Amino acid sequence: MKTIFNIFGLIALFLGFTQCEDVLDKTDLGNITSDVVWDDPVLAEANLNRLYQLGNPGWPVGASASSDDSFGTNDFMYGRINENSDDSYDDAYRAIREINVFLEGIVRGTIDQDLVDEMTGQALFWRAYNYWELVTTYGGVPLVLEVLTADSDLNRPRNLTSECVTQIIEDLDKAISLVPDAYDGEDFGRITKGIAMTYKGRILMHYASERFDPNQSGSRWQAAYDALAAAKNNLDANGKGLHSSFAELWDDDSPGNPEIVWGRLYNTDNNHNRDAFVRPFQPGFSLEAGQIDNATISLLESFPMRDGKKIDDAGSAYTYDPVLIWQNRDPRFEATLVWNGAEYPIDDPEPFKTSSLNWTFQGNTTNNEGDGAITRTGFLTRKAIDPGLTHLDARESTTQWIEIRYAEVLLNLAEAANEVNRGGEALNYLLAIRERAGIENLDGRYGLDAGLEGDQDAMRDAILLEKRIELAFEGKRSQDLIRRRLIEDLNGTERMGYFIERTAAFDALVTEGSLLDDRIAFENAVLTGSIDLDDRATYDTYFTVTPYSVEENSDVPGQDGTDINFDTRYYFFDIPEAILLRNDQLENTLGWPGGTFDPLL
Amino acid sequence: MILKLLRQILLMSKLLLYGTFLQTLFFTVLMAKEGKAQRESVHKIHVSVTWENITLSQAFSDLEQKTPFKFTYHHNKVDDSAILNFNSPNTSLGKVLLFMSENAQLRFQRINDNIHVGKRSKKDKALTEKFSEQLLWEKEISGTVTDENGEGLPGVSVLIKGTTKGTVTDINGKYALIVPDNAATLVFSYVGYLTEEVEIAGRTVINQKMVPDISTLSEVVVVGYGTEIKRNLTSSVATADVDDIDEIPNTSLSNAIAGRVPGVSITTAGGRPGTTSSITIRGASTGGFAGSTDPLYVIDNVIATKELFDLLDPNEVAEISILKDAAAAAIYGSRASNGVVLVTTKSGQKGAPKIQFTATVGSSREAIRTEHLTAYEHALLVNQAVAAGNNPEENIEQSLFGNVPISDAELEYLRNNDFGNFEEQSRKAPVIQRYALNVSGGTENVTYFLAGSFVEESGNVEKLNYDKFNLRGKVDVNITDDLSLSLNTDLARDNDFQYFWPFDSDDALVDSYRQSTRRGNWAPAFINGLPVANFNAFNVSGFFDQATGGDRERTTDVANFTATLNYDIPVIEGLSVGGTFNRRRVSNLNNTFRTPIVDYFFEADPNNRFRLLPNVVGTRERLFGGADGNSIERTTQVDNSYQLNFRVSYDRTFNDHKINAQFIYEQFEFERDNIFSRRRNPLSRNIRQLFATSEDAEDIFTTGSEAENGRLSYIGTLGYIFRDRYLLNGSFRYDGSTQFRPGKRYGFFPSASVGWIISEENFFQNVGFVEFLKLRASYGLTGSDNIDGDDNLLSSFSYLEGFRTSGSVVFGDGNANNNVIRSRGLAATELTWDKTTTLNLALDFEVVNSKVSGTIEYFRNKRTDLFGPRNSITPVIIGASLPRENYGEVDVTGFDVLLNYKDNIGDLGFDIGFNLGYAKDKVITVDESEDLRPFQKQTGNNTGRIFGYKTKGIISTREQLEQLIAAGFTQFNRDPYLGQLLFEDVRGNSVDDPLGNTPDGVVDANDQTLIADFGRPPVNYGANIQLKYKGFSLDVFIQGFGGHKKLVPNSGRFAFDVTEEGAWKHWTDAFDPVENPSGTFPRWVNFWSNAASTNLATSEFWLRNGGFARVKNVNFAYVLPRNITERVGLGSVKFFVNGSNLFFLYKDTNNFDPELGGDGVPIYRTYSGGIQIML
Repeated sequence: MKTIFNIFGLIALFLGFTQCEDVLDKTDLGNITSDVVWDDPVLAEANLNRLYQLGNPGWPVGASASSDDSFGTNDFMYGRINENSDDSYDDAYRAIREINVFLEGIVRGTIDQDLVDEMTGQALFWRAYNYWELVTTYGGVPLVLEVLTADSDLNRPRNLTSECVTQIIEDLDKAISLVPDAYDGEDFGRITKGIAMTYKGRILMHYASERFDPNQSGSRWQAAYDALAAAKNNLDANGKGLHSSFAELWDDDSPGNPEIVWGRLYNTDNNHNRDAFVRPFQPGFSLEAGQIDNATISLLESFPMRDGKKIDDAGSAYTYDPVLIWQNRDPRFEATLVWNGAEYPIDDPEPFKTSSLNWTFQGNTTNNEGDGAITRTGFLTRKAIDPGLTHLDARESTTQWIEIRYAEVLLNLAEAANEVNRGGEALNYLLAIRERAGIENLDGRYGLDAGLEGDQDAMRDAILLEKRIELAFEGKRSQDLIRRRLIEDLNGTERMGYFIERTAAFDALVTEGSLLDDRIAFENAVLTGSIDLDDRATYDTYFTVTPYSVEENSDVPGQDGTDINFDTRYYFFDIPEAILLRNDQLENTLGWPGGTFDPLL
Repeated sequence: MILKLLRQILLMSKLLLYGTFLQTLFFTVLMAKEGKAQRESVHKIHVSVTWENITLSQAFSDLEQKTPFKFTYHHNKVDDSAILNFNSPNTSLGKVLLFMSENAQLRFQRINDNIHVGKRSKKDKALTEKFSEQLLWEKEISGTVTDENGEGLPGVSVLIKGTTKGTVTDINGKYALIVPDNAATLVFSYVGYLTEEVEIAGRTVINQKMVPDISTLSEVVVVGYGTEIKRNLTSSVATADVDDIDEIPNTSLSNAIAGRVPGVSITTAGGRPGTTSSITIRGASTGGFAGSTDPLYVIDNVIATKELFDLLDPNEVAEISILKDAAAAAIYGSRASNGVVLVTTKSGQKGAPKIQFTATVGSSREAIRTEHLTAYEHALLVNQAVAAGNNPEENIEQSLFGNVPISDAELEYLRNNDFGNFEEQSRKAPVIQRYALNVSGGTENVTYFLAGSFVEESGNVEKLNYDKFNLRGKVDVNITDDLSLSLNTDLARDNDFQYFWPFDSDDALVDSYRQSTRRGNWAPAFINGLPVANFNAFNVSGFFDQATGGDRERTTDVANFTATLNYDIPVIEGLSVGGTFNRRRVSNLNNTFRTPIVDYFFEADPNNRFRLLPNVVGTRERLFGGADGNSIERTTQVDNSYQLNFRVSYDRTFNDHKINAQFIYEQFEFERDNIFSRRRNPLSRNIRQLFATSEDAEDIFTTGSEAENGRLSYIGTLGYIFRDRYLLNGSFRYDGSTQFRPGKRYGFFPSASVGWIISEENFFQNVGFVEFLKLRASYGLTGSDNIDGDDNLLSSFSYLEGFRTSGSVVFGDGNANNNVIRSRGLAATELTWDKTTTLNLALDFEVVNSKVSGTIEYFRNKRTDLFGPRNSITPVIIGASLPRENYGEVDVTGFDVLLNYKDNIGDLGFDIGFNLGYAKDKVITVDESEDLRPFQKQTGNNTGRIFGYKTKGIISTREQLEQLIAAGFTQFNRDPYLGQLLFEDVRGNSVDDPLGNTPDGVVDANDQTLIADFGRPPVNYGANIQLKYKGFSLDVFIQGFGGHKKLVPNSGRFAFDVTEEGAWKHWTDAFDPVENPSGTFPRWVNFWSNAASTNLATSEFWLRNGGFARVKNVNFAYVLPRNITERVGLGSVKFFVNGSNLFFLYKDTNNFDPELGGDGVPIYRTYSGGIQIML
């Protein structure tokens, strides 16, 4: 009997140890539960920040390769993009879901209404932003304005492009009514009224352009003009304007920089590597460097002379030299570009950096590395590059990105004004831009043609040219070419650059020794003034400059590269097959296999 | 090394001290009880007695002082009133006891050093006259037990039948045993020999010759929560041959058993020190659904992990069983879908202390060394590529780099100055060494086992090292006849040290190995001790170098304590209760030291850019990972868990019925604490401590995480055997897991199996040559809650919605970081277990005097309710991955065959085995759109198929090229070129070619098609040959895989991406219209160019037969004759030499190891030798 009692005692002891169901009563220690987020302004704001993380545009590294501004062999320019290549669709809807989760959640909690409004306005802006990204890629897409569940009706057809634009404008208008004109210093970088208004203007301008309205049959320009004019008023009232210096406007990322309408800030942890790509190639370091934003001859020639006149304008006070092309140019030329022999005191290590001068002639390094990588066109870009960064730090640059600067607002407004027959107003904006650029005002018009304001077509060209120069390598040129359906005009042409070679006289500078020794001797002579590269004859003694195609398959002068062959289907892409397969209501875009959806409606 | 070893011992000894405190106590008891007189008869022990009128109790205490014996008696039963007088200066104890028996009416029963005193009965009185001595109830039997060769056999258990009393033979095979009067039979048993029962029949000397047991039917097999003899198994259980694994040095247990487990696929991941092997049972597949195909690991009845399994040292492993079907595995319920690997560690054996020491040292090199181009061959090919690029006729894009041809003078220089690649310039021979020591022994009531081992393996370059240290202490104690306790403590620590190469994923070293073997031939790695930057984007040697590079170190510490208690309830025969408590702590410490790398540009000869002069012209400093590239990172992760179970079991035989049943309650809880810390800019590279770094706030970063989970299980088993031939087993497990929401947590996993031993039937007795024949069948359900893939310990709480942190965004004047939290997406509220229904049919047999034995098994694993989001049929606009649901279905069917032949010819004994496993999976239900073209569908097909392009050779003539171009044929939107791989145009796009079978005149992504049915081997096989001749033995293990295709790894497909980077040797046969118009490899073009993408793409061109048979281990051993070893006082001495991954009996891949993907550190061939000494 006693034994049996012992057994039960033992069992009791074990069961006492065991807490049964408690064993499974566990907490998710790795996550934040949904309920607390919407009652806590700090957490709600952290979730709002997520929308910035998803959307906030940054440096468009290499975007100029999809235009006539820069060297860049890519399938987009050669018409070789296959079906199913553009798959930004999925990611955009993931972002839209997160935005809708935020919009539905933020009103459920107990956060102060003013704050809810301010945050709702920002979220609505991001929803508009993501839909616009979809519309500029595909045309109309299904509009999802609520949080969907697996039980929702998900087989939705594409909304018309016009319906989408209406919704985007509606979200932006709401955002404009909810967000403030400006934030305290610590929130600088968040969406303001001014940003939402200028962005709305940019969208309407885009929607009014040939891409969405090929025959210009609609009357969409007035809305664009109205929105941009209102945006300018708001910006002006809030202290925005042109920065005093074209060259230095990138250096100041504080709220005090009037040029920043919509900017993105970076720091050590959130950095970008644009500098590493754009800086000169360093043998043995990074194969990517020196290949991005190499200006084409077409871009180089589009910069006016110092007095604002075109290079071939006989009325200019200056003569254009097709070899010493940097001479007597619009100051923006020097602020944007680096040429063979230009002063460019970038912090690069020895042995390949031997002075503050930059060389872009072929084979300027000591061994066989990097030939052809130095720059394909003979030109590099210095815009917004911080030469003080070491080559190590260049991979983690913190230079701000300005998605919309005040100059763009003026140029967009000028473009819209010209289309609604306000040529005079448009001219004023061009003059303001040129004045800030530092162009000599010899004719009271900064070199702009007389009567320009009365010629809508000429004015349109002048504005697009000014945009090309002012906003070079800021990712806007390819957008403008597509927006105005100008990119197809490049078909059959090839982008050109300069092939710069040293002469025997260069090699003869030092009889014994390496190329590096020749280069150092040459540099010393240039720096001490005994060789003057601004003298054409001297320059020709040491270098030959030959224009050549920089398209694919052309590496040296005389070769025939692949012609640009933009496929007009790319104005609106196809929805990838994998996505179509998941929704039988989804039509493909017209022009693509099986496509029936007209993005122009 | 020795210092390190000592430090490790000190560190771990301290821990062991706590862990084995209790055990030490038991040792003391154990030593005290071991008496010299144990085997001496009372008649041989002499005493001097001078008793005058003393009482019985005085007499006992006198004898206790003079002899080692203790007298125990009950006061009520022994009359203390008797007055004794006895006087003798030297008489035997036996005589004294007989005198006492006469005078005080007593009887004595001796058990070892105890003499129990009782009252004489009437029956005893009658005996007195005849056999007075038997009143002492003591008798000594001694003898020698020998093996089949007549050599004394140590360690044989000699038991008195029907009792647990007995002894073990000594090193010479001798034994002596005091048996009680009524003992009739002795039982001699020893593993590998037939158990013998011998009647005592009045003898005092019994010599016994043991007969080897050829049949393995009586082998005890470890199964879930118990053991079973092989004869009675009704489920599918494989056992690993762990006999000599102690002799072949390995850093992980999975490597050690590769090739030794029939029907289980164990493949090595590579040759990096500390690499482990993956274990897959019966082609386990999730058909592409979430989850893992890894089996469950159980060590000493405690659920463990693969990591813990690999940490075990072979020296402490007694058995490894692999549970393959549901009948065996369902007892582990929720985690047993992929089978179970059970490990039992060694326990002490009764007897004098046995000490075994094994030392092994070996060295290795690549089993297959991938040959690369020489500097000269490389330069020639670069010139061909440059020429092609510079010739506009060729229509090949110019490579951006290296368009300057290498001059003849330079070529000649390179021909005579090949520096070897960086790996060759930096390599050293890997060394592996292992030392293992264990001690075991014990008495009737206490046995102990202690083991310690150390293994260290170095890599092919500096700064690559792995070492492991293990300690285990185990004590089994019979506290009373009914109550037993087992304590098992183990400590393990491993340390993994490697150079830091920023582009390597954590462990594989794929990129650094590739870089180091492909670069360097053009230049020395170092000039005057400085790493050379010329010709190299990456001089990997600088990273291998002790002085310059960063490094990474991981240390894992495991402490396990397990106590098991068992109580046989006396009132009900066969009923027992017990419990096991395990407490485990696993801590992981990771240190990463990252530092800028500096290398140097040397001046080149102006006339020969490849000839470097010794003067430095510049430096190249690089930092990888930005500001974090100069930092110290430290992660500490501590996992604490316990498992507790309580068990009631019943085991009894009634006539023809054998019944056993068990009920178990088990619970498990786990918690993890992880802290990560990083500080940038160390003050000095010589001080690797977090504190010695920059104090700037932006240079300090820390984060951490915690997690917890739990499991709760009820387990039942029932076994029934009728007439030794009808076998029935059933089990269930009812499992709760925190992976799923309340309401979806529990899963019920039952199984049943039956067996019929036909050979026991009367009608079968006439079939002479068949000794044993058994049919068995099993059916059951197992499950998996592993929704997270590898790390099954952490519950993902995927059933909860919520938010988690996600980096930061920058706002404001000061460019400050602002926190970000993001939604986790849709919650999987309906998720529950995935399930596998397994059918297993098998036949076991033994024929020809049991010399030939075998098993044939068929299985079908039907895996249902697999976890997967139904994404591919859900419109994307939902904006989230759908929550995972239980809907997928995959079948795996296959068979296992196992054959063994064991015999001896004279002194030559041999044991030859062969096994074969075949498994094929088939996707039954998967998330795919009905609109997919037929060739895209997975449903109805197996997984692991290879898709790519069909090839039609190389475009080798101008005519062929021109015809293609004239026909408008393009490959990937480009005109083809001479020397390009020509792909087959299979079909057009999905709109124009909905069935996918109509060529459209061009090759593009639509033309990818099935090029191989199996990318993973459906067949695995193995063979083992064991030969023994006198003191010599030879063991050979062969492992093979077959039925699948293997792609040449990427590194073999690259031509070059920059001129200085070499390639595989096979490129010497690259096509060139001038130099090599009959070349069988595509033209050598820049890897980054679009031209190369056709060559690189997955296509038939790169497909090889993946099958191979590899001699995994060979071990040759010699045991010194006993008469020699005895002379120097040793029990036995064994010398051995062995090799791992020695060679291939068959393979079809050239230049890479078919067991690997081909990238990363290759598998090593290791030769080693050593000695094993037993005391």
